[in-house]
Amino acid sequence: MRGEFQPDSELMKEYGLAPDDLLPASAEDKEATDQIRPSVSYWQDARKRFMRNKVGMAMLIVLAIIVLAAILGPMLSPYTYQSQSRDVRLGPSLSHPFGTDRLGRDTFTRVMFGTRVSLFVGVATSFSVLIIGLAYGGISAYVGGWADNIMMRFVDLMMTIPTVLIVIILSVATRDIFTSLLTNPRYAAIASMGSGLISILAVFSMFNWIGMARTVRGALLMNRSQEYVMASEAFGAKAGWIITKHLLPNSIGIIIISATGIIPGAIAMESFLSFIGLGVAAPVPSLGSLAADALNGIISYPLNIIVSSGLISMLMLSFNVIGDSLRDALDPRLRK
Amino acid sequence: MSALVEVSELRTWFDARQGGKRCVVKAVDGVSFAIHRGETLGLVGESGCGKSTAGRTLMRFHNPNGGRILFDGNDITSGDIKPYRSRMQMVFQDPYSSLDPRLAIRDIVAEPLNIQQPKLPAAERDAVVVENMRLVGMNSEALSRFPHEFSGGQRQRISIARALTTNADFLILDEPVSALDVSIQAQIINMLMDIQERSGITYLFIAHDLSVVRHISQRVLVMYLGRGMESAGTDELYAHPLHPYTQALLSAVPTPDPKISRKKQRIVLEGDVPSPINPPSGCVFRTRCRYAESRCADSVPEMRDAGGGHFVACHRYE
Repeated sequence: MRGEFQPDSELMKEYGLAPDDLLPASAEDKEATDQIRPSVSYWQDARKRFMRNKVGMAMLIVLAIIVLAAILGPMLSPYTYQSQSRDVRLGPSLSHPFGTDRLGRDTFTRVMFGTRVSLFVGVATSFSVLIIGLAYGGISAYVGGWADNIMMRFVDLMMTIPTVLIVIILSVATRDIFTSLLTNPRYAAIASMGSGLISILAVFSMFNWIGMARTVRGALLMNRSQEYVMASEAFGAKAGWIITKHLLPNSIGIIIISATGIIPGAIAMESFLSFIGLGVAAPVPSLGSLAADALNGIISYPLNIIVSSGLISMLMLSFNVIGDSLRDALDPRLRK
Repeated sequence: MSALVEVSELRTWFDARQGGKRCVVKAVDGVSFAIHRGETLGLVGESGCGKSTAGRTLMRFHNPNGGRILFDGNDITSGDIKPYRSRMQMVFQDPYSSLDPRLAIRDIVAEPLNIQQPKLPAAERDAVVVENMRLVGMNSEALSRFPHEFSGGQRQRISIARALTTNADFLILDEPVSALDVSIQAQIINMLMDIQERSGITYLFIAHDLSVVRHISQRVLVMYLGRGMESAGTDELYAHPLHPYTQALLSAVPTPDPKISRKKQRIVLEGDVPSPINPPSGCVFRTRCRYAESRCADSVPEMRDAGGGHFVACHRYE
């Protein structure tokens, strides 16, 4: 590299500097001027940004409490969601924190079980949509050309279908199919959650993957045209390398964000279906059917509807806020 | 000196649509050149003249529609390019999109090795990475950092270090400094020349900045609308430009000394570059050439030796 720096003697004279005024920098001096900020990876950075978002963190805690209660509540409670008693429409007490309903069933147990149902529908829908969307969008983006064209036109076609109407029709129509499938004892665990739940899950996935497929395709195509992919090709990289090392890591943020965004929508849809009596079949409680039950005594005994609709709201609010702060954390460019 | 890369009558065409009609964009349409071992060929021309496409066709990012590419005596015009992937490399123009933001610098520089020799022990791989980072003047402390922590000039150094990882003997530099500011440009260019002096690597230097090309290249090829116009040794070309297009280009180079630049005669070209979809007949430059005659519209001028290895494609020198 370069030799020892020699100060220009004429220049030094001009500025009135003696030869001893300028000294070469020692190794320590050089080190001190180096930047000291520690290197941070994308995920560390994202976590820091997420933690800094107070509303997001508060909602994460709220959600954690709800999830814990939904898992542990029915397990620890001495009642089951269908055990009835003579103590009908009790107010809150130590043995019944949210009181009892008109059949003397413990509201706390029922509401927490309903929360389980809601959480399951939200998370499972989001997960299956993620799988379908990744596969469909990935193939569409990777194959390209006429295949991409046909696949995307099919997506456009799916978007024109009035979702709510079809979901109502299909979730009722497919329930019998799933009921007969679930008589197999091997699926007893799933069957205990109710066959309506499975048909809801299937129908929701059928209509929600569209947006996910588009998101995945868009993200992959955007990264595909970056020069680092071209550089990777120049080194002789195969498709598998490019997808796993470059395309997926660079698209994962936006994919996670849209997967999180699906959860509150699915929860709302399931509650709505159960509210109008088309969702999870009785006696399995759902937040929607609990709210519908509570409508009968809304004036004289409002606690039931407050608890069930309040939980629906809190679930949706927390998932929405967490989704937003995830977006801010994972993709700072999208921030407004 | 033997030629490492020989390109003859290279053609790269793209399908396009204009107003719903199918048409062909002749991005590169009959370009020939040879690059000798250890030398730098400068490829200059306006934006859209096909110089980047020519470079990318050499890398076989595009398949040529005609002509022949010889690399070290082997025909690589078609067929499997894989065996030559380690020997020719490319440095891209945009230092911001050419490094994956999610990879640490260590993984970026080691990527060619990870792809080509996945079984190489980690210690050997790291040794290569550190050595290449040293070559481009980067501290190995940078290895665990991420691209967003570096400036454009540093990123371009990293990009060059990555291209050197494969032990390539031919490097295509696609406007490697045009995104950088002038003082950084000089650093990168001098570093490239240092590396060439030490390792005898061959460069194809694509640029639109004539003074940068003059500094680094031994020979220069001027392109216009997908065709070669003139090629000569750098000193010869800058001192005695023959083609009217080259003369106009050189007269547009800014001079830092106002006394000289006031005296300089500026040749201003009229009109715009014609569309490569529908290029003029005969000589593609005739629509803007001040010497254009009737024969320029009738026949395409061939690249001819005007003496001493100075080639020019113009009817005036036949």
